Amino acid sequence: MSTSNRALKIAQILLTQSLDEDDRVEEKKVSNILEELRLNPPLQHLEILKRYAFLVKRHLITYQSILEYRGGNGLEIAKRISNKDFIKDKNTEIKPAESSSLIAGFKLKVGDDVYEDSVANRLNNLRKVLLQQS
Amino acid sequence: MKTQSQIVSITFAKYFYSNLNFMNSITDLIRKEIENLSIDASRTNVGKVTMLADGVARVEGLSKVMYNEMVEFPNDVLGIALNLEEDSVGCVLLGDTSSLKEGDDAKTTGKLLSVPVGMGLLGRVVDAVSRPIDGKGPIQSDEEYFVERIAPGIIPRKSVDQPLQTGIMAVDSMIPIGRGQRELIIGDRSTGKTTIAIDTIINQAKINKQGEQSGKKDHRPVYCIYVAVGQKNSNVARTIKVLEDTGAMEYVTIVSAPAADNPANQYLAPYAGCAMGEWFMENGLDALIVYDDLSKHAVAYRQISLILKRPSGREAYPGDVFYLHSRLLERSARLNEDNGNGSLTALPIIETQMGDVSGYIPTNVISITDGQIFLETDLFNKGIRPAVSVGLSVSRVGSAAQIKAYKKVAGKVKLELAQFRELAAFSQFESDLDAATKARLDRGARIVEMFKQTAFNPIPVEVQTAIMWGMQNDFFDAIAVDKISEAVASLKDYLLTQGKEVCDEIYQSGKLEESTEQNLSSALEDWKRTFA
Ligand SMILES: Nc1ncnc2c1ncn2[C@@H]1O[C@H](COP(=O)(O)OP(=O)(O)OP(=O)(O)O)[C@@H](O)[C@H]1O
Ligand SMILES: [Mg+2]
Repeated sequence: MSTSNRALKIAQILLTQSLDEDDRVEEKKVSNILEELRLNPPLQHLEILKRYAFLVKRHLITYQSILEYRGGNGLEIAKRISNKDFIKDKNTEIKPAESSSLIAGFKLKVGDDVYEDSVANRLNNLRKVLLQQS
Repeated sequence: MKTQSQIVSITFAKYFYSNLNFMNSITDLIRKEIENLSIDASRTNVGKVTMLADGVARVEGLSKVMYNEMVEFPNDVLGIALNLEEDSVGCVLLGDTSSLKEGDDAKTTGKLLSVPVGMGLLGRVVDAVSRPIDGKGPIQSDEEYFVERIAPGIIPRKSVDQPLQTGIMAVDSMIPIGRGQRELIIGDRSTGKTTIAIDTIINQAKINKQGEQSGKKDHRPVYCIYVAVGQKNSNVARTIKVLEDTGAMEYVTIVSAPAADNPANQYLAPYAGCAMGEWFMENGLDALIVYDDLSKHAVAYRQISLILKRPSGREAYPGDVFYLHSRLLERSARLNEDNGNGSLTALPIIETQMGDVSGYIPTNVISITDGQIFLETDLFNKGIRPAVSVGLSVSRVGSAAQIKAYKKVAGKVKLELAQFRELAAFSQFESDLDAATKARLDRGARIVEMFKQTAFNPIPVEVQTAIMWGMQNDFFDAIAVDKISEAVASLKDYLLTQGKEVCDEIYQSGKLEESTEQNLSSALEDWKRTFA
């Protein structure tokens, strides 16, 4: 087994130990784990921490989604989106955050899925259609 | 006291305003509903590039990607998901990947790779994903086929029963090919493999034109696709030039993934070409596809597999290298009448090292195909070109498709030639031979000479029949062996000009009746006088 594989395996175990009954990451458990690692640094400490951070982040986005928006009221948009079919039964929290990288519209990330209705996206679709026709 | 009219107007106002409120709340309701619906956000599944190497990207995320799905990278670079793993996806990249970097976004497209197909592709040169590279503008096509398709099953197929003439005497007589057959062309480098394939394509174009002009009622044109994998661009350019100069290009599509192209394109090009060929087959037409060559295709696939870290087996090829070629070659077929009666004939090419046919890729492809044309370096160097080895070449199904006239004259040739080879080796130590042996040796030496043929010079099947008939009926026996090539060339010219009538007779009927044989005999007598 390669060394990076070992680090990944350990990080996976750490992740399962940082979850509460609802499979959500618990802050206290995470800080306990970090404390423990600091006191007894394992082999490849840094590598393991990097993997751990990656896994925690990937786990977080499965139930916490970030709503990037520009223009309008973020909370209002979040409320409207949370009624939608694609998100209703996923039990996700939506955190609105105004983003300067958008011109207007919104972009919602849930896990690997991105739901987007923004000016940039519409322009891009238009560009593709025009390219296809030429 | 209020008047009647005042009362009426007040009630009306009350009624009106209450209704207005009522209407407001209704429109509010509808407006809300519209607002809810109008979030027509498009959903994409995304990931991040974590590794980029030699035309392969590893992407973290993309949890909903399908196997073989197209993945979109920035700057319109496309990839294909080939490795789906627990927490990452391996994609091969198509096109110019120099603009990509680690951390770039990758998106699913929900589409499998497909290429335009149809008549609009004839006369064109395209790349592995069917983008034109000949500067003749966009491809005219309104239909697309998936690049990876399932081969026709057992029910729609039927056995080979129509000939596909290569125009090369040695092949058409001893190793006949039928429409829908898969015949491997195998040999060391520079033994004339490509030349045989190109000759065949040129001959199809000739037959197509002849058929259109003569108005023969059962004439079925053959359209050709030439897939160049991992070749030098100069070679591809030369091939294109030959096809253009001989006027064959109007029936040909060239799919080119040269050596400088990334391995993903080289891996895909044969499948893309095959999809174009399948369109002809499924529309009741006949097509021929040449894969030049599958050794380089296997090497490109090995490269991709190694970078994707798939386990490697013999000669470092991945475990599924057999399936790589079997699923491609199985797509060539002869369909029965209920399924349109079309066909797709395949001529895959394999390069061997030092004439070794027992290599991994050669044995794989030999076992998939319906026979092989084996080309030998020794023969090639001796000047016997095309350098077809009689002993090692076979066609397992093609003889069922030979036209009757040709079968009659070619039936014994392979045996005669094989006997000649054996006797020639054996008679080196023998000083005085009996008459029968000597006759066999003489005949054999003349057949060898007769089969010599220059490159890009296919001979129509009716002319071949007449020449072979002449050989079988002792017309060449009086001519010295070193003059045979000359004699055959002269007879060919004669048959294409003065002797055209008897050739037309064979062309139209496809049979050698007694009367035809008489005409042939007098034509050959006539020629012999002019030649002597
Ligand atoms: N029948 C022939 N008569 C004369 N020359 C020939 C004949 N066939 C092939 N040649 C010549 O032999 C050379 C090699 O032929 P060709 O390119 O077809 O071989 P190849 O096996 O495809 O080579 P490569 O391994 O490079 O792909 C060419 O220069 C070609 O002109
Ligand atoms: Mg070649």
